[in-house]
Amino acid sequence: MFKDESSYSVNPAGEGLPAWSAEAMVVAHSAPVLIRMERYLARLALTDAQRLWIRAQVVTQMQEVTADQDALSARAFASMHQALATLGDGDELDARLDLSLNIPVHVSQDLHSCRWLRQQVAPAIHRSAMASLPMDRSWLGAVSRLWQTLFSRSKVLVSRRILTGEA
Amino acid sequence: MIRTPARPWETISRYRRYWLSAFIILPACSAGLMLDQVLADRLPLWLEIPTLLIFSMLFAWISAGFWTALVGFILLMSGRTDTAPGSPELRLAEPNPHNKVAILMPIYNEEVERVAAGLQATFKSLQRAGALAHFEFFLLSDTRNPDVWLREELVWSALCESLDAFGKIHYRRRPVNNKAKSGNVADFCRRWGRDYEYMVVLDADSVMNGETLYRMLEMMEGNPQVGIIQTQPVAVNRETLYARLQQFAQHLYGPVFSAGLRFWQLGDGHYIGHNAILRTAPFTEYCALPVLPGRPPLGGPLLSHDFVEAALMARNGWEVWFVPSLPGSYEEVPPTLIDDLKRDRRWAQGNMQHLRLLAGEGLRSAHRFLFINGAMSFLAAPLWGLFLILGALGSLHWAGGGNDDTVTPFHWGSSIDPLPFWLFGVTAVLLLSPKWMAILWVARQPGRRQQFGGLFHLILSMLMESVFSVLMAPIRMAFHSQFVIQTLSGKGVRWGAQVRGDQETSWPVALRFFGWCSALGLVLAVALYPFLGFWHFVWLVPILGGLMAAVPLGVWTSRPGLGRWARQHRLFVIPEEVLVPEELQALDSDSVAYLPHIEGDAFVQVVVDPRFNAIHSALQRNRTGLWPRAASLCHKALEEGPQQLSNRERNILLSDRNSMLSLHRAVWSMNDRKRLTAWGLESDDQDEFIHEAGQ
Repeated sequence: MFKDESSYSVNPAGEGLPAWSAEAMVVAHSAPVLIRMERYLARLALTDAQRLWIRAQVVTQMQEVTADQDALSARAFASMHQALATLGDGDELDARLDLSLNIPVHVSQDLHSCRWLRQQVAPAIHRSAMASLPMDRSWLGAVSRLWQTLFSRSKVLVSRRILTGEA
Repeated sequence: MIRTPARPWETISRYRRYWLSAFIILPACSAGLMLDQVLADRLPLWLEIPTLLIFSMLFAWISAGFWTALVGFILLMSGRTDTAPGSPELRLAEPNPHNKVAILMPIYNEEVERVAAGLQATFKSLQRAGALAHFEFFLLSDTRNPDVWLREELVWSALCESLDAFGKIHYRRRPVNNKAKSGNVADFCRRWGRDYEYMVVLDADSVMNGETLYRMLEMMEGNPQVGIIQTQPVAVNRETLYARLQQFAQHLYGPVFSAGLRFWQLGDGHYIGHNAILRTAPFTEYCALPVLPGRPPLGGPLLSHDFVEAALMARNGWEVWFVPSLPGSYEEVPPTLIDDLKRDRRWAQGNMQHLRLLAGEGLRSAHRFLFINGAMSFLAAPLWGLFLILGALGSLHWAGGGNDDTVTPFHWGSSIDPLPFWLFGVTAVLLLSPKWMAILWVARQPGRRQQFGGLFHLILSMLMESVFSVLMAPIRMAFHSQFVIQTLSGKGVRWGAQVRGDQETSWPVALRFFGWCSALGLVLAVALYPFLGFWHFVWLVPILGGLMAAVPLGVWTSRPGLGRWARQHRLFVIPEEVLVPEELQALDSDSVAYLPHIEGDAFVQVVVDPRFNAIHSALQRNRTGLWPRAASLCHKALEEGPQQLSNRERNILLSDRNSMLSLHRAVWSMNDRKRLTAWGLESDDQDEFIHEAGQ
């Protein structure tokens, strides 16, 4: 289950944070990347505090990177997923699932959401065999059976077997 | 093998069927002999014998319908439902709490919102009935279109979320859809059949009342010898004129025919493939369909599975009951004549295949009769066409003999034998009297006639429906003959999704589809008139007129506006429109407005959107065998854009969890503006960047 802002001591205003100016440099340097990240986060049902905490995590990670724009984007996205995973106490896919579906609380605490969803989509499989039975479809056979029924002494009795559950 | 005495209804049904056979065969032979008296001296033998044979066959075919309707009419008028000993209605039992019912909804490239609305309506109805504990739903998808597949998944998750139905509604998509719908149901039986005592099979457009479902369960529990209980689904919800005509006819005449059908069938009933409950274990054990030797269309997998499954169930000792008295079972009909004929094309092939099972060992005679009956639904068309050709040849022969001078509709010369007119009259009675029987039955029930718009409008609707039926009959004849010829000449049909929305047929489409019919009618009219003379030609006017009017009929009857106009004027009204059942109210488009709506390319959205991607990826597994191919496809998607992937390539990527997660990460990590645009990301980034810079 997701932790709220109190669990993480989020400081939305960001005041008094160490290395505040360094972060400001990162934000200024990689604004398009961060904007895209914001867009990504906006699609998930995060609270403001959670969103800001993730952003802070990403910015912190990016301070350590001095690379070209491609590597920067990749690093930012990886950091964001890492933060999401931390926020969800597990895998980032589970975190995204928790934020996408209204998964019952006890489920996301006990089980990975991903596994839980797969269990819901299809119950456990207990295989049975289903194969077509042989059937004589020849007209010759049909005529001979009709002959037997009409003229043979060993006529087929008008009776049937007991079915399962009837006994 | 343990043997027990014959079932009580078997003796009754045997006698009933003897009577039915007598009623069909004797009048057909008598009518044939009567016609022979007319033709014997007037036509050569080569023309006389085939005319007589075909006439007798067609007479027998229509008289079967008449006698069925008459019996149904008598039963309904006497206010009795047919409860022969052993009928499942007689023995209901409280369901065992451990017994579960799977409600299966096989789908194939369907309109997802409509499927969801139907499922939701049935689910809520079960909830209201307090019977939900026994039932679970399975959406069994054979969808190949990746866009539809992704919508199905998202709609499934949204439905579960909104109805709090995780674990009650399941979803499965088959990667390989062999044997179409029957294969899909068989796939369920192989995987989960063991856990569910019963299964209710629905169509994509089916809706069922919760109490009806529970009653069906009670019947199955009380009658352990019963394998299938089939309801009579009624057609609802359509707005085009064509569909409203079908709905009206089915509501008005359906009960009369259904009651009659039940009277003859008893425990050897039919199964139409949906809106029925089946006992899973015997179905799994005995009802796997044989693959016919040879190539399609007459060989290969069976295209129409339902009749065969009922026959196989009965072959192994299980009873199949048709219970038309069960209310609350709904379906939708094709909206236009074109869609109806497309469906008929598949059915024609399926029913022709059934003839190859006719000599099958152990099948019950009632089911052999059903196979013949089904095939005759389509074979009757070329037979009728042949009969008309022979009739025209006979007329030419007769007119050539100089016998036509004194004939007018009002003055028949003394040389004219009135017998053919008697036969024509009898045939008309056989065809039209069931319609009047249905009117009488409705008129007799207090309050029922108001549900059809009042007695005057009911009769007017019936007369108009009859005119439309007469006009459309030759079009059907032409198409059904074509279907039969195509099937016999080895031209098969592909499995396609059905059209379920009210779509209007445009003039160009109608011209392309029906143009040859209209042309045929016109050519025949021009060619035959000079030879036949006016009064002989008059007999052909309903047929040639129907053929000539095929194009405008196809267009006009497809118009929802005309359908709505008819409804406003209380024409073709059905009871479900006057008193809308709760389940059908729940089909309103607003009821599924909350479902996620994917704008544009669903594949792109599922790669890009973190929620959709999470749901879809979570439902897939890692297919390591696909990875080399999937890796190159991922590369292609990123380099060239998702638009360059074919549906097949998209399906490969979508079915592998790792590929979907990788694509998601890669797309969001890209910087190339052109590539981002291909994934629908760049423009928004730019807008926001400019917006923020401005601030």
